[in-house]
Amino acid sequence: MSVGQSVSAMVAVAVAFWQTIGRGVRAVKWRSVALFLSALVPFGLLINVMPLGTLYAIGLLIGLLTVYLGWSYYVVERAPQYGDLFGARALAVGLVGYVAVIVYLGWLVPSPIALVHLGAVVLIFIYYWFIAFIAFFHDQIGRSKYEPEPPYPSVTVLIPAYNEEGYIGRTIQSLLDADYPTDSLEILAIDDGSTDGTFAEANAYAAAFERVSVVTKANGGKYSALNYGLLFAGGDVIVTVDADSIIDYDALKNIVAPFAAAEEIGAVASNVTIWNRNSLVTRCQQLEYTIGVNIYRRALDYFGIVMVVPGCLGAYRREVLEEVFAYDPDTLTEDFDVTMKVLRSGYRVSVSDARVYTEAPATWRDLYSQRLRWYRGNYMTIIKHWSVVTDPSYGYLNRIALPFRLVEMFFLPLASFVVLAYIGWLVASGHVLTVLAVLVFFTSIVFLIAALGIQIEGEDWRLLVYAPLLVIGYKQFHDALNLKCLLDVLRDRDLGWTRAARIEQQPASTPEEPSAD
Amino acid sequence: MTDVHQTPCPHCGSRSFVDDRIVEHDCGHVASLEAFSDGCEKCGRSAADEELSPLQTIDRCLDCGHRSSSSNAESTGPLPTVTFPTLPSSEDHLNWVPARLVPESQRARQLFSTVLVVMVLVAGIAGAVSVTPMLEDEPAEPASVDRSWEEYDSIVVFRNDDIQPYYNQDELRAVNQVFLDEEVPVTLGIIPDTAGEAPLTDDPDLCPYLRSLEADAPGQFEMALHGYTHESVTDFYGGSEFGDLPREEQRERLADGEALLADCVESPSSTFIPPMNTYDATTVEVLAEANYTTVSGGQWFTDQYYDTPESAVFQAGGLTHVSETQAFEDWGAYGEAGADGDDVPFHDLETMTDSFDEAHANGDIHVVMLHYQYFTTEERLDQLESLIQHMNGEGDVAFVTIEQLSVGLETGAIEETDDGWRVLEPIAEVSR
Repeated sequence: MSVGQSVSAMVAVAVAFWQTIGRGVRAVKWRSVALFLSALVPFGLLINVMPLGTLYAIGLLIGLLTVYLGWSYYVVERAPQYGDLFGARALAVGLVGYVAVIVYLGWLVPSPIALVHLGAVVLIFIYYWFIAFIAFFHDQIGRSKYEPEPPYPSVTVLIPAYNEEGYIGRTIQSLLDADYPTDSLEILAIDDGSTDGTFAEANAYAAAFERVSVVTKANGGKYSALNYGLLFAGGDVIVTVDADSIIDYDALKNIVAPFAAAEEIGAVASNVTIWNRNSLVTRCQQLEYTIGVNIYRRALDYFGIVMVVPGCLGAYRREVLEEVFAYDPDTLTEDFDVTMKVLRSGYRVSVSDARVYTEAPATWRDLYSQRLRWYRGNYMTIIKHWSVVTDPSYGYLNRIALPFRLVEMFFLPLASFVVLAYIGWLVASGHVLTVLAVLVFFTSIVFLIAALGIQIEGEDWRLLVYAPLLVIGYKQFHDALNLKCLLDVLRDRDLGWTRAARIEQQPASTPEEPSAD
Repeated sequence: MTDVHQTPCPHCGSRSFVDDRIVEHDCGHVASLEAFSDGCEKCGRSAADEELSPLQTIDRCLDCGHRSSSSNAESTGPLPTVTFPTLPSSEDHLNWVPARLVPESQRARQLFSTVLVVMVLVAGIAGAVSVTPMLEDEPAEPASVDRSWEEYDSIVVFRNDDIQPYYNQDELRAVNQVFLDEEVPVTLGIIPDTAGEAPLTDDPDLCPYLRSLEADAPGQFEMALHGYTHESVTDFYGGSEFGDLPREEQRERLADGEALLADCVESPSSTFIPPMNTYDATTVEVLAEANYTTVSGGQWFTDQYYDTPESAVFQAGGLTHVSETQAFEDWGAYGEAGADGDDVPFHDLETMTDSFDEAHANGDIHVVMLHYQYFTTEERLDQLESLIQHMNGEGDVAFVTIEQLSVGLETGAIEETDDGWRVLEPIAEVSR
């Protein structure tokens, strides 16, 4: 090879290299990068005003958690024989030891408020560095790992319905309108002993479309309706849709895509979007979904441990659902419960780009009823599956998902009220300005995280207006409700379903169309 | 029971069906009744009749097993009219912006929403940045003002007088360093305008230095007013700047001094140290009017003037009087030596420690006066250091400033006990 040839070859390599870099740079979503980095500024400021001892304490805790996460990754992915070592329980012991060490070293003056303060700062750091970072990364490398491709599996859509007249027709229609091969799709409405015209409404579709059928049974609850429906299902993939939800045009193709990609995926979750955004309550909920539920799910997706396949749209491999004997009657959140059962059987649970539109409770009273059921059900489900907390053979589920969930369900609601009491004390002792400063500060952090979530999710920027309520107001409403539900569940396990009233079922209301935004 | 149906099985076309009774077990398992004949497949328990609730009876194709609901066929009502609500989509997220503001082209729209993102970002950061200075002044958390009573045998106060501009500044720093090193608080008596010729604020170094002491060692240096010009203007008890002066003149001197000190340090104290350790009842009245809490003269003087022998601390005229009980300098020997040179002789270390030991044994308050400008040798600095170390070596001694002592006594944070004192620590948290 002559000198000239080798030079031109080198030039060609260099050009190709620069083209790759150039493509890489162009592919970066700079807005997300800017938002992600900008949220670091408040953290920097916070570090600046913190006493040195607190900084050391935070550093040590983050170090401990990093070692734990790194070790968990190593154990689960590479060396399962060490699965028993330094697991979730050891982490709990480690955290107690950690508190003893920082108190001994004088980095922390022991008091509830100091512990909560440290816990809150560390959780925000973790939320940002762990959850938000993975979601951000997820967004940078492309929206989803799974592209829908033919052949599409045969699907049976189960729609459990109890008194859903005026809703179920629309749900079926959205499924019929969806993009999916007709001969692979079966839609089955299950009338759970409705006392209104639900059956007739669904049956009209069954008569008009061959791929729609409807069955009816004695009333027994959502779990029972789903179990019953499963007896009639012929598809390889079972999709469940709530009778008040509207699925996106691409939703069916998107939700089955992960099954084709990996054999060990047992269930697939969707992204929930609220359509009736005409009130403060529903907009707060949308922001909560955007930065809480959806982002959180993306992060857990990385480990295949998405913890809830939402009832309003989810998909399961039929044999997996049958293997775990489908739905149980003993919790109020059968979607969370069945997801835990699938995870415990060793399957991965992933999230897809499938989108479902749902009607959120539009009044505080309805939201209260809905969350009463959700939160009670969450505690019941966690207690039911407590062995996952203690058994290291559950891998990531035991090591990452549940510890995080436990902190969220047991520590955060309590911490919220310690913080509130502290704020009360500050105000009472005349430090009103400080309280305002702290509020503005934390609001700005939540504001920037919300902006990142909105950018990633392609959501409505106006939702940012409600960010302060996620710091004070809306947040405490949920924390108080969580505490109430925890106490309810501990006192009495036999709790009934609570159901939110719906706009369109209220007799005097005009049908459809929410007032324009 | 087998029936023959008019509609064939949609799967295999067979017309032979059997009635299939679907039941639910208590554990939630739903299946045909016959599947429960050997107990429940899911929970493994027996399935007695009372544990099974019937859900529905349906037809099952005998040939292929396909199930169809028997109630499925008849109704053929018209399809209900379905209207969909407006669903949110990612494209119309600018539709709330007035149409005339939204650019036409795709590229301009992107630019527009980027500008929105930047505005959001700036707003978020600006919010955080603007309140950060307020976070720095965050009050101590309840946990960190965890206060507790400590028991002591005696109390010691150091009073370093004559702080003034320009003069022997190295000595001033050296003496203060001893207190910093030993972590002992001290009250500084600051002269606002020495001899009417040296206003405190004229010295570019002194005031910043004093403020740095306040900032770096909070609660350790009390900034007290030490007269106004420090001149002996009357013969009151052998010489005084305030004693025997008319009320108005005393008031003026105090106000002028106060103004200079306020310009110089961050937090002037509520203690007044009259020059030459002498003051009269009028001084006390003027001080009380000006909201001073404490006056600190000499015990040799207060013993006579107030007729309170052996009391270093007492109340009179609405003020707490904290009198010096022991001076570092041996003024008697100075007089005898006949004023040769600047060097004022010191008491030897033993005299100083004996004086402290006596006070300590009696559980008294021991107020030591010193003048920084005479600490011109290492030897003298060592003597101060040795004295403090001796005091520390004797056991439980509470070191406080004059103001901490006086306010502590007033608020109850310092209390006399049967065998000494008890102090609510940290005493630096005591405020007026």
